[in-house]
Amino acid sequence: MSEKKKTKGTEPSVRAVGLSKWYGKVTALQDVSLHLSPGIWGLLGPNGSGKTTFLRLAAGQIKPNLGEIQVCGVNPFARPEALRRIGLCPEADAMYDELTAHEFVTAMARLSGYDKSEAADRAKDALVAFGLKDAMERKVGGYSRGMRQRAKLAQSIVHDPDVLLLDEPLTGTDPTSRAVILNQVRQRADDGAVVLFSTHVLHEVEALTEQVLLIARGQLVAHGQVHEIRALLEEHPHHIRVECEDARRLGAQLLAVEGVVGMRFLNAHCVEFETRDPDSTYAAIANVCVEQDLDLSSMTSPDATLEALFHYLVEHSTRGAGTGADAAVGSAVPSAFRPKPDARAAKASAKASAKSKGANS
Amino acid sequence: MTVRDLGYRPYQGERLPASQNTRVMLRHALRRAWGSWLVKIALFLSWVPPVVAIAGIGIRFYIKSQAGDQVPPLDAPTYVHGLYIWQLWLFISLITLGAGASAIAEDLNFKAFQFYFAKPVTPVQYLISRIGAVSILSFSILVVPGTLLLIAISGTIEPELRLESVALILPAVLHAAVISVVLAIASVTVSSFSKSRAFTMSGWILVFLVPHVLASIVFEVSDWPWLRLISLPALLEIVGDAVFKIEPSSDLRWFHALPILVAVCAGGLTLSHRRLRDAKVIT
Repeated sequence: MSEKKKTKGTEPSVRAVGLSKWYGKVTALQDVSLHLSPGIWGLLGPNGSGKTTFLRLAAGQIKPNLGEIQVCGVNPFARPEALRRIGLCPEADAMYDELTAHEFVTAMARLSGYDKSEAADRAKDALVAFGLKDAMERKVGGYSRGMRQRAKLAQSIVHDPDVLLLDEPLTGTDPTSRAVILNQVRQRADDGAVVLFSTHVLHEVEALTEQVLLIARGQLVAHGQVHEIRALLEEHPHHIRVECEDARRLGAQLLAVEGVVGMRFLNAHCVEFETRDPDSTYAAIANVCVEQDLDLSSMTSPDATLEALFHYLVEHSTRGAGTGADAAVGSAVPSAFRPKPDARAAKASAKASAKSKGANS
Repeated sequence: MTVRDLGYRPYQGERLPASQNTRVMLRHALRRAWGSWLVKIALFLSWVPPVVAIAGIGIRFYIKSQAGDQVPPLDAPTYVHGLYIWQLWLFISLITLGAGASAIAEDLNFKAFQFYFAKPVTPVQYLISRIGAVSILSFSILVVPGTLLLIAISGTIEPELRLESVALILPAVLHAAVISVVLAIASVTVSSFSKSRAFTMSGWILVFLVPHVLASIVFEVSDWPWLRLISLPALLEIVGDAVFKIEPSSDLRWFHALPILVAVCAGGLTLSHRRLRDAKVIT
C-alpha cells in the first residue's frame, strides 16, 4: 500500500447492509448487502436495474430508505470527510457547455479542498492523463461525447479519491479513449483504491476485472467471477428467431437436432427456437434451409445481451423453492456469509440440464 | 499516459475545510452569472443613469455659479432613492432575470448537482452561493453609483452641510443591501420551480411586473394604496422611503412593508431549499 494510504486511516472500502431505496412506488434498490475491498469491481446490470441508484447511495448523494451504506467506514451522506475520499463519474452526459474543461475540473478540485494553484495543477494533470492536453482550454460545448466523458472522469480523479465510482464510464468512447480510461482505472486500483465500475456490457468488465456484481430489478442477483457469468451465459437457453418461407417445415426438421429444447411459431413464416447449443443449432438451420430449399429471410437472436441472463437469473432465483431465493436476490446477510456464487451456478446448471433431459425425452 | 508518469506526487499540503466551499461556490456562481448576456448588458449600462445624474448636477452647479447665483442645495436622499428606483427597474430587473431566475433551473438542466453534491457541498452552501452572486451584482450597481452621486451632491453644497450629505452613505448601503438580498432570494426561488429556464424566467417577469402594474392601476384609479403590498418593487420603495427619511407617497409605512419582505425571504429560502433537496434526488 502506498504512503498516501497509510496516512489516511481507514482502509478504502464500500460496505452495504440491507440497503433499500425507493422513489414513490418504484423500488430502485432492494435489500442489497455487499462488501467491496480495494480493487476493481464490475457492477453489471441492464438499464434501470438500480446500478446508478447504488452508486448515488455510495456517493452520498441520496439517503437509503432502509439499511446502511458505509464508505471507508463512514456514512457518506452529507459527510465532507467521506465525500473527499469519493470520486464519482456520473452517467449523464451533462456539463456546463460554456466552461473550458480546465475551468470545470479546477472548480471541482477546489471544492475538494485544494487551493487555487494546486487545484489548477491537479486539474491539468488529470486532464492530461485522460488525453485532453490539447483540448483542455477549449469550451466543453465543442467537445465530442468521448471527450466530455474523459473530462467527467478527470473531475472524478482530480482529488485522488480512495473510492472511485464510475457510472457507465465507457459510454460514447472510441477505442483510444477506452484504452486511456481503462489504464487510469487500473492505475487507481493498483494504488489501493476501490473502483466500482458500472456497465451493462460484459466485455467492458472483462477487460478490467474478474470481480463482478450482478444487479437486476434492484436486487443483487450474483456476486462472483466473470468466467462464472460466462458459464451461466453458455448454459442459459439461447433463443434464435428465424424468418423463412415455411416455418413449420423448418421446425419439423430441427426437432431432431441435439440442443434444441423448444420452439415457438410466431406466425407461418417465423419460428423461435430455444437451444442449449447455439453453434450447432445455427449450423443445423443453415443445413436444413439448403437441403429443403427454404428461402431464409432473417436469423436473429433476441437475447444477445446480458439482459436475458439477468432475467434468467432472477426467474431462476425466485423459482428455486426455499433454496437460493434469499441468497440470489440479496439479503441483509453480508455476501461473505452467503452460499458461494459458483455453488449457485452449479445448482442452476444441474437444474437446467435435468429440465433439458426431460424436454428431450 | 498516467498522472504518475507526468510527475504526479501525492499532495502533502493542507486541505481547506469544507466550509470554504461556500466561497468557492460563490466565485463559481459569479463567473456563471457573468456568462449571461443580460447581466453583461445590465452591468455596462448601469453606469448611464448615475453618469447622467452627476453630469446634470455638475452642469447645474456650473451654470448657477457662472451666473453668480446662490446654488440651492439638492435634496440628496431623494436623489439617491430616485437613482435606486431607476437602477432597480432598468438593471437589477435584468440581473435577477439573467442570473437569478435561471440559476437553479440551469443547474438542473445541466445536471450540475451530480457534480456539486458528490463533493463536500451542502444544499445550503449551494443556495448561499447562488443568492450571493445575484446579491453582489445587484448591490454593486446600487451602492457604487449611489455613493458617487452622494459625493457629487456634496461637492455642490455648503461645507457645513457636506458631512450630513456624506453620512447618507450608511442608509444608501443599507437600502442597497435590502433590495439586493430580497430580489436575489425571490428570483432564485422562482428558478427552483422548474428546469426550464424559459419557464422560470417568464415566471419571474410575472412575479416582478404583474402585481406592480395591477397595484399601480388600482392606486391611480381609486387612490387605494394597499394593493401595493403585493408588489416587490413597491414594498422596497416603501422601505426606502423610511430608510432615507422621505415623506411617503401613500398611507403605507415601513412597518407594513417590512414584515412582508421578511416573509418573502423566509418563505423563499425554505421553499428553494426544499426544492433543491427534492431536485437532488431526481437529477
